[in-house]
Amino acid sequence: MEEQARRSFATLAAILAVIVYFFVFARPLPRALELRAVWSDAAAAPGLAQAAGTRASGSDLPFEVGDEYGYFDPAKGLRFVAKKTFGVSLSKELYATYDRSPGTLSWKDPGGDLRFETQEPGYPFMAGGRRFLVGPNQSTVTEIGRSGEILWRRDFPSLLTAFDASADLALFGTLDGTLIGITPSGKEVLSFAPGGSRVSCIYGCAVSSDGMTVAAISGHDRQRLVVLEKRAEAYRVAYHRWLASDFTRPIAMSFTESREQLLFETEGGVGIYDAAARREHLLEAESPQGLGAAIPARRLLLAVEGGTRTSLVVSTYEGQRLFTFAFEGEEPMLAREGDSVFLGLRRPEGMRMLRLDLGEE
Amino acid sequence: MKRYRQRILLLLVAGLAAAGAALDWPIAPVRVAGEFGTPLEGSPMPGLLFAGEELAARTAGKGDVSFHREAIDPRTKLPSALGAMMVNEGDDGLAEVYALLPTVVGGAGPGAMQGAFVAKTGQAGISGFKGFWFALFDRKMDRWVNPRLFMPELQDKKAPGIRKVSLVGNDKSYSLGETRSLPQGSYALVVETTEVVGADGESIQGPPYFIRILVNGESQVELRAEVASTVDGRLSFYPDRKKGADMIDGRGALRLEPRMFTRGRTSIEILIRDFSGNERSAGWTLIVE
Repeated sequence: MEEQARRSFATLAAILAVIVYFFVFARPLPRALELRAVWSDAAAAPGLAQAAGTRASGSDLPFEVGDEYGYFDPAKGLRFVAKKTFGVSLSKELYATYDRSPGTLSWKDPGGDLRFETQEPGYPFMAGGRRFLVGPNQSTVTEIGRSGEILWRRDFPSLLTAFDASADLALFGTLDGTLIGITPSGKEVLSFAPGGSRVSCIYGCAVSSDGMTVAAISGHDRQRLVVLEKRAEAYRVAYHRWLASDFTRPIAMSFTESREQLLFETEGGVGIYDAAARREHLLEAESPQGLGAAIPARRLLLAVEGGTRTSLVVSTYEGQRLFTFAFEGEEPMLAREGDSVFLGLRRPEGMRMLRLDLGEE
Repeated sequence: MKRYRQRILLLLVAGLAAAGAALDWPIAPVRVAGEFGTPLEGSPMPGLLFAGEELAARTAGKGDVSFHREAIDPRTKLPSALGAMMVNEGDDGLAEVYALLPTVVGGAGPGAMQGAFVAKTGQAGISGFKGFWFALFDRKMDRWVNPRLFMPELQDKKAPGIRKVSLVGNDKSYSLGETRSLPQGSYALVVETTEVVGADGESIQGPPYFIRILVNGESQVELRAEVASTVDGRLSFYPDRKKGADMIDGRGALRLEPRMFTRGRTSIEILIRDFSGNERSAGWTLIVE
């Protein structure tokens, strides 16, 4: 009898403990991140979107996937799709297509209207809202103003191997291993040779959107990452590290829009440099592409993984892979606006653009 | 001091060339279509242009590939106006640049031997030139060097040509040979020369390897196109000369520093020489009023 009472008491105590735990120590389950497909738009035939009267505008985003380029409306889908003859340089404000041997270059707005023409021989490229031409010797650069006027032109000491730009600083890397920063007025405000390797060369460089932080991967046999910060009037080395990589081709690298993180290709994936903490992390990924996209509000990084299978990777700022979204297609393009992620893909049947919204469930 | 250092280096370079070329021609048959300084699309090029399609470009020396890229590479925002290119790093501090190539995929890799395959030549780069561009960058001195200094001697018995010589000043151009007199003033001598490159007599316009100019029997200038470097954001083929003095323009003409021509009879003599030692000279007499 006594034994039975003891057993009943124990059962009751266990049930009570569960109830107490459930109500007192309960925590809500964390919300799971999810990617939700919003729209998917295929380019049936290049040029048709524009011919139908849906002209692209300044609010549309540019894309380049394989040999096709154009603009898409983040809310609706593709606006304008055309086929490259050789190359194209795109920004939100302008685009310029070019043949292998361009004569006159036509710079057009997203709607296809001619903004200006330039006669200077060279291939166009744009970044940080600025327009440039690289000359036939790959050492001469001309900056073009908003109306097509020449802002400055200069010859660099050797071949140009890397480039990035913000509104205030155009950063060039050269074969002789020098980083040179130029303002929109053509003034040289940075000239730095990282050195230290058997062969000097700049393989990749990046500049933050405020122009205050610049980074480069330099040298062959051994290769290193160098980060410089602007203090007072000069750029000073804030961080450097020898890398395991020893690439002899251009290296993709980019700051996130919020300037918090620098992303770069490295051995085994994507190197993540935290500018505030001056610390590095690694996101393990195969053949990473589309570096630089991030969702700062959620502290998330985005990248496209190539190699054997193409996929979108979402990771934390510390490089922890949260999820992988596999898809079919080649030569992927990645863009972001708010919580929306845009993926452009080349498929056998043609180019396709997807909008995926990041949400919580 | 700097000039003496440069001369010593040039002597060393010449000595090396005389002792036996350190590098081999990067293509066979060798057909030089542009000398050191010959412009391409208006840009004087600090290297040699070799003509020929579907030929194998090969490493001129043994080395190690330190850079390669295709014309358009998604990893960089910077396009290549020189098409696909590859850089072979020699042990002697000379970086060999192979450019204007359709692709360098499948080309030489690390530890490339002399004569290693780089690429098949074709039409590439902004100029549409059919061939490829070869240049040497001297890493120790941070400047381009005329590859001819390191290459085996090339049989060439054709003398370069003096196409046109003008005196330019006061917004006017006076062509020597057509002008008998001109007003006193400061004039820049603009010399357009040609080099025969084809067996059929085909010639290209570009600066001569060597030029000497005499005014009234006195040597005024002697220039050798041996090195090129950037001075104040401008590529100069005569970096020893004072800033902006003598330059190669976008047509390949040599524009010399303006000098004063005073009243009286003035004789101008020009002698040019190509790298094989073939010479041509010409002279004119003018009345400066």
